[in-house]
Amino acid sequence: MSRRTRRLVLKTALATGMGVGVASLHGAQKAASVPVSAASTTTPTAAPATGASATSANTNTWRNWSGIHTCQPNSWQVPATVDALADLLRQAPGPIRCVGAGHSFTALVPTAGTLFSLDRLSGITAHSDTQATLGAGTRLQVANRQLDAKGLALYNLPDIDAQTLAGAMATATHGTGVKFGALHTDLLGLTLMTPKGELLQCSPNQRADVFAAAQVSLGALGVLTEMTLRVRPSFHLQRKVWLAKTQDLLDQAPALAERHRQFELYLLPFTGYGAAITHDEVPIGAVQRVAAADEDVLRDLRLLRDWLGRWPGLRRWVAQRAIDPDQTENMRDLSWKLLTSQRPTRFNESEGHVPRESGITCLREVLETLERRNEVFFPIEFRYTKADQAWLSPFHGRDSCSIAAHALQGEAHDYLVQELGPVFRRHGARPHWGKLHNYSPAELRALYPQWKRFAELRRELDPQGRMLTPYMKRLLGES
Amino acid sequence: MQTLRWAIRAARGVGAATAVFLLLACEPRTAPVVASSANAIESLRPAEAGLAEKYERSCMTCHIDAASGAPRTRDTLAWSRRAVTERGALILSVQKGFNAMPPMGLCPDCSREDLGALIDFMRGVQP
Repeated sequence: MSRRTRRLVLKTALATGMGVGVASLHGAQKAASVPVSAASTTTPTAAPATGASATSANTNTWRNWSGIHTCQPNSWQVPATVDALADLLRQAPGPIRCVGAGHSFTALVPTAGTLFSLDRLSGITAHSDTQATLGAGTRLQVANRQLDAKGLALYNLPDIDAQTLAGAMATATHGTGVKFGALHTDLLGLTLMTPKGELLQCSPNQRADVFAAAQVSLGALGVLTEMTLRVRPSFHLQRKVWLAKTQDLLDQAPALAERHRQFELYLLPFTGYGAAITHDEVPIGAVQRVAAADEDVLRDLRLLRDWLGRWPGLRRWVAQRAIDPDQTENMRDLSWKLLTSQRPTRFNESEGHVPRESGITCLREVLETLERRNEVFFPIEFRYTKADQAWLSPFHGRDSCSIAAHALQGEAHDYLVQELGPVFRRHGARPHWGKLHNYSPAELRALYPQWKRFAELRRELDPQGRMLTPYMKRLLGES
Repeated sequence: MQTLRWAIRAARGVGAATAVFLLLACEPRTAPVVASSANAIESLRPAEAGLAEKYERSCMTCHIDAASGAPRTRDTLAWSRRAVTERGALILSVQKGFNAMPPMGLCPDCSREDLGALIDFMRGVQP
């Protein structure tokens, strides 16, 4: 799911009594749960590599946010300095992997070798009015807070702010807005430590090839230690949320995306409605907020599914009479307060990035496909992202629309890949690197014009493949 | 503003195989105006610098925002409502992970003592 809000507004007068025996679909969903796919579970807690400034974690079990991937690395290191990182990196047993918030749904992280957390390489180290240099382990929320304390802000943000900067860049994390690229397009420079412990300073003017590859690297080139980002003075956004019929929103979406600083759309399956969200910059003024009700809405949609899921016609009939499209919601606050959200309800997710001109058509087909499955209830997310030139950016060379579908954690989610995959492929989608997909190396090679150059550079920087976890080997087609 | 509330009331006394649901849009909700961004909770930090640094980069990610589902720092009522309230058990919950909180609670370099101190700080109790 994504940004806060999905707040459905209902007519208070509605009181529909149904003397219908409704068998809970929820039980069926439980039975259809996909088992946890444990990845690497190998040697528990070996003696950690130590150094004066390194601290070993006191548990070696790692699990991703949604709980579908877990591993027990040989060691989990949390270096406090770049020098300590270099020492550890030179001698650490592979496969070596950096981990951030664990918000990816693909098996990028699991390793039986060495995990690195960059949490101690965190915080702003330098800044001006237009740029800021931060440790690569800085979590987005920390970055936002520290920048705000200096009167600064990032231009755009993704929905979740728990990720480290390094993790967000590695997977091409994005927000929405036709005038805004993904987070990595705000990179002005970065420092990459190769698996040999060498530091490479990169920017569009210095080692430009390495920069273009390292902007979105899947963590395969080495370890990012520091990055300089484009920033601007703090600013307020006005958010408006409203409900409308799906057809109307699909018709209006392209114009809304052009008219507003940021626009995103959530289609609510089996309701015939969707929620539109816009953000526009306003002068800094009084904060206007209402308490987030996302979890209430999600729970309500789930209950509607549980009780009426077997009767999609009835489910839709009830929803259409319950939703009040006249209600809207307005909020005003600092940009980072509105653009990011908390997501206590865990889920698994797949997302395809399609050429912008195919966005609405693909979205229609995704909705149609998902509404063949009565268990679906999560809103379908639709966002816009501007083109960029990073080699492995899913937005490389094309303005894009991103379409994301979700399944509740613990419930079946294979269909997100098996049934949406063909839809996404028909429209030339590139998969989100951190979200569920089953694209083959051959398919990816065809979708990314710089795939070969990235592979060559990766081999040059890491000839022994120490940064390649089992999943990364399969993904990149490396034996 | 009103928000969606699918209030369901299972009619009692009806046959066991039959459930009667009432879909009611109810609970007109007064939009509570939340304090501005720099509210008091966000400014709280443990006194010890190292612990404050760990708190800021790990715990604050969720424990300053009620929307996360995690008990907020110094919200003693929320902390007292946890199914687990004993200090050692809370530490174990962090180490193993709990709901959306991953193992070690985004603080892989926290010692057991650190976790205990951070929990004490957040729930506002003396160890």
